[in-house]
Amino acid sequence: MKIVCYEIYKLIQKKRIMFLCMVLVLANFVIFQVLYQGKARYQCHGYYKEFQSIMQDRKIEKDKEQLELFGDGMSDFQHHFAVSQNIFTQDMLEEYHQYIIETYGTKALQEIEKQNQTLTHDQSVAYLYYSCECIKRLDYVKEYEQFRNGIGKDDFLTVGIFQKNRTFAKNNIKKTKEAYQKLGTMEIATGNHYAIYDFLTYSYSSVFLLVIAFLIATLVIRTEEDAGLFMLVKSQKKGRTKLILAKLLALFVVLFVFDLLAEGSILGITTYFFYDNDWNMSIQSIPEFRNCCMPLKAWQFALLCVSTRLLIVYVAGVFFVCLFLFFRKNWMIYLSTGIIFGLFFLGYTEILPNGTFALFKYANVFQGLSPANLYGTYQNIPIGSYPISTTVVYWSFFVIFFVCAILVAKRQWNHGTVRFAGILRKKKRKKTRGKATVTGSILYMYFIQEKKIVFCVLVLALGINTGCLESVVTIPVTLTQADYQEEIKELQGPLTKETEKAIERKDNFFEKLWERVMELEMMDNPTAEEQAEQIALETQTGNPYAAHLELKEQYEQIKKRQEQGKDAQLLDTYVWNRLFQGNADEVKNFMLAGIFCVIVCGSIFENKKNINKLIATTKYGRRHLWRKQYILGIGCGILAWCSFLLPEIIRFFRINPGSYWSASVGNLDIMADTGLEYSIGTVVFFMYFARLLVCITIAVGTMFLVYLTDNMFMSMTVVTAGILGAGIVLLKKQWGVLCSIMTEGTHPLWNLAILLGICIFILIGCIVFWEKEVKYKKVGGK
Amino acid sequence: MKKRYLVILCACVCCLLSGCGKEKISYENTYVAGQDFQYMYYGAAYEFGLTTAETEEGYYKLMENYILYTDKETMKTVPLCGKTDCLHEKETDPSKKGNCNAYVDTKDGFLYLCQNKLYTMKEVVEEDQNQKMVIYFELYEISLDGSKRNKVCTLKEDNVELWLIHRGKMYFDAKQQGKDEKMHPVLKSVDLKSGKVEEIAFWEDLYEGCVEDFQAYGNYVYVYIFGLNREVDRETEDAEDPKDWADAQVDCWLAINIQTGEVKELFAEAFKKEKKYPQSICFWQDHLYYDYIDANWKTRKESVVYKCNLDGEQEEEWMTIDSSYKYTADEEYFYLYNTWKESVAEGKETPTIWVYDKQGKEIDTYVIPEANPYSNLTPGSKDKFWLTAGSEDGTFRALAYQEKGKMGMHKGEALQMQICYEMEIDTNNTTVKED
Repeated sequence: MKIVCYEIYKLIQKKRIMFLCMVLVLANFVIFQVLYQGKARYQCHGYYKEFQSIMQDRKIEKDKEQLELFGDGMSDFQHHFAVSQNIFTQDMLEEYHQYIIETYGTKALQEIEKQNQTLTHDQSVAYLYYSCECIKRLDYVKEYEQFRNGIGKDDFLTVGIFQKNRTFAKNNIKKTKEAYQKLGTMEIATGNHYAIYDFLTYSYSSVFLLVIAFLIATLVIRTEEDAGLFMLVKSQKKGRTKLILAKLLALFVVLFVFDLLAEGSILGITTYFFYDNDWNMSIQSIPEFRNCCMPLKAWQFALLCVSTRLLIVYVAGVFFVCLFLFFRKNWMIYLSTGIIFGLFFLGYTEILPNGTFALFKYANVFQGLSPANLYGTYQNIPIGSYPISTTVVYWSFFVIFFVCAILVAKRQWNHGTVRFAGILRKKKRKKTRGKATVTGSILYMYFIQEKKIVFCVLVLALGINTGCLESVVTIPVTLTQADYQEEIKELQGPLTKETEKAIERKDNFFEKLWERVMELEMMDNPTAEEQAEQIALETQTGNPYAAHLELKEQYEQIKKRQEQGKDAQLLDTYVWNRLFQGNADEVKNFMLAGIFCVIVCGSIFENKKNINKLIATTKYGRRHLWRKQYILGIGCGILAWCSFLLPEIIRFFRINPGSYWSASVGNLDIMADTGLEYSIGTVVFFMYFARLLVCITIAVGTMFLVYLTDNMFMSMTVVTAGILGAGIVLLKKQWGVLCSIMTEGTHPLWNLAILLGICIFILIGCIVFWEKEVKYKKVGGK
Repeated sequence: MKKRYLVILCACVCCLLSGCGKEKISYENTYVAGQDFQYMYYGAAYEFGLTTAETEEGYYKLMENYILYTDKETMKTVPLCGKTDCLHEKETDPSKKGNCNAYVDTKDGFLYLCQNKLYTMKEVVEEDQNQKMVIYFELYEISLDGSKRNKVCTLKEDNVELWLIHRGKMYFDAKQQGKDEKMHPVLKSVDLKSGKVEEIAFWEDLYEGCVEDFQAYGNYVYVYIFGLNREVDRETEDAEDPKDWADAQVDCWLAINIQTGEVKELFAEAFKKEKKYPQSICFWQDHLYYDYIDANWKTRKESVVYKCNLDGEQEEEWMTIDSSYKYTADEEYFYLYNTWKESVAEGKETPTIWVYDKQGKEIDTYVIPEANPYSNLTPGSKDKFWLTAGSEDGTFRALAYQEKGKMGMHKGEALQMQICYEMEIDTNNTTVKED
């Protein structure tokens, strides 16, 4: 017990890590707010209390007809509002009033009109939404009864293909029937369940808890290892099995606390918004859990989900401990974690629930990270002809994974002195070298010795393949794209009289076609030739005509620009818009580039065995060395830019867009609203320059953080978490990084300016800090 | 050492056994059940593929994204989902629809059977940030009881139009960019086991080309393709009059030998000499049956039905029929029907089927009840005609069949239509009533 308490104390002492974990808990809370604020029930929650009190006063919560009347009353207000905004006509309003009179009577309409006089638009929206939700819940109660009564009475029970003996189909039917019988006479409540549902289905907590488990796992092992006390500790009486078990228990305790905080914060916020949830209702009262076969109440189900998530996060933590015991190099740990969890994630997302390898979908860590999905739907998978519940599959996997992880950690702690890397490395006779330069030494240490050269070469090769070798052919995204591009091929460029004439000619051409179409349609008995002509004309007046209209609209807009004295050029928007669209690929490439920088640059300023103090006393151990190091880091940033971001523009060049780089970006519809008139070339240049700066900033920032904190692992993890977090938010909000127009009217120049400003500030700050640092460490007056 | 040998031995045995039990493809130049394109279910109006598959035990019909299974013994129709806690078509929650084994999110509603597996194709549409669509296709195989489903392959580089499955391969047509940077029709195949895509034919000299009909029988895949044999000027001041395109038009049937890869144009001489070609072909008794249309086809009163070998050779006249009649065949009988005749469409005449045996002798007739005007008949199985009925406003669909009964016994009687499944279609949800 004392060892456990001491281990817990040691973990808590690492204030930076604990602080970081708290930040992650807070980030989890913030992400919930960001993601859920757009949902209707959260936007309307300001009127939730009022709505509840109206329901209670009128006692219509369980009366479907009255609820429908109430809802229609709110719709009436919406109609009036729409008329006042000139969206609806008066006739449409009258039509709706007629509907209310026919359904409920004239008196009801009068009451509605009277009640609506004191309403606001937001109130009506909120009341309408909540009343519809109440109606859905009432309908669900009836449907659930029919659903339960129908189980085991399906017609297919008599159909041969499902009744063959010793087949999964037959056994599954029987087992499912038995599972639902265990529910007995379940009562469904009609109460509000928003908080319960949101709490149960919010799954980002799992991601943050995994990261927290990873961070705490580093402390469990690295504390003694970094201090070089491994062997000393293990030589103590309780320094082996007892100690590792105590460490693992300490890991659990600390994780438990953070889990409570993370889950508790989400529970708190959901309950704050929707306070009147009945946690005693059966879980099947929530429609999304209709197919759950567990006879549990909502609070019991929630407890089960929380426990499942905590346990799987803990097992992941133990797994991370095993990795730390096996591998010394950080990049090996990252790589192993990435590969193994990547495989799990692939199995979880890509394998179909009724696929041949469905076992690997459910014997999967990610099932435990989304426990509401796992328990919420009763499902069996075939193992031979036997149906096995997915819950059983998951828990079997969990037990095996847990036991193996504990045993491996224990064995490796007790006996493992040889690391995997050590087994594979052959002892080489080291050649004697001549005088080593600082640059040469740095390159040798960080690229050759740490084998990062292989990684860099692979990444560069990938970039070359993506940029120069991969096919750039794309399928047209709209039916008219091919025709549009065919037409604009000859017309691209500055607007001239020739362009105008060409558009006019095309207009006349289509006019003639349409005339002929009308002519043929009027014919009673067209000949075979005329029929063939008709078919041909249908094709021509379909997509080609739509494409011409699209081009003409673009032409009109460009003409307006010409009249305003601006640069006016007709450009193929399907091609040139690509530069400014901003999409998920851009964000992913940035994340990859950032993580590459972190992995490669993380160790450059690492203070291995406290050697920096010694090096700083040497002639070249300060200015020269650090300058070379951060220049190397900048080089890595450039390499990341070349490998992940530059291929995008190379691919663009390969599609031969034409030489319209001097055209103004205002000619493109995607940039028309920004008011910018710089040339495309200039904007693209600055965009890519900014991307380069961001990559270099990440590289330099990582090195600086490592230097400052003297903890390489924590710094790399912090920066990686920051990159991933930013990436997830950008992806979720569908914002690009640098080339998309930010939503809600934010001007792209501002975004660019802010981003560049931050990057330059960090870069200059870091470099100045290192250069200044040199002065404080001058020895002997030099 | 012994353990190592034991492990190697076990591995070898596993490898050997893995090859057992898998049916091999038969390449007989005739219809082989269980692996071939089921041509007798082809030809329904607006369907350019199959939506029905037949096995020894039952029928599978893909209707409104749900696979319905009809047991041959009881003629009971149910969704192909063995889950007793599933609402199937009645499910209103979109997130739960995918849990139903019978639900398939298909591109075109086509369903094929090959070697005890059903195949459907899904069209995946993803939106990027600017609401631009990226479209690709996924081919899925489903076990006969619906309990297992696997993805066979993903096609990202081809915009699949028509497709079919025949003898272990999927054949599809798409458009591909030629050397002139224009799109031309192409025919490709995908091996169902390896997922390997191969190009079979690329019509680079065909402009604005399109595959309009696509069938398979024996060792041949048949493609009806039309387009222009030259690029037509539509844009300049000298744009051609559409009337002049008639000369440039190409309409032809091609037979592609799936073993040798040879592409042969059928009915070439007839087209060359008399500008006539068959609009459709029919398979029966390992021969092709067809009649020609030409410039005068609408005015003539009679048509001659020809027959030839599967490779288009040895054409001979087989029967003369009313020019407004259509025909089809199953494995045993040839069916002539008149639903396309104007007087029948207007309700002035009775929609009738005439049945012919292998000798070309008429052996029976029957009346088709409630036939839609200008509807096509698909012969279906040996003992049943299968059809779907629907309301005009599209809110109701039904799966029905008509017993063929013993040939020679009907003598002009009306077939009895049995509705085995009814489906109410809501614009938002699909709900079902069972009959």
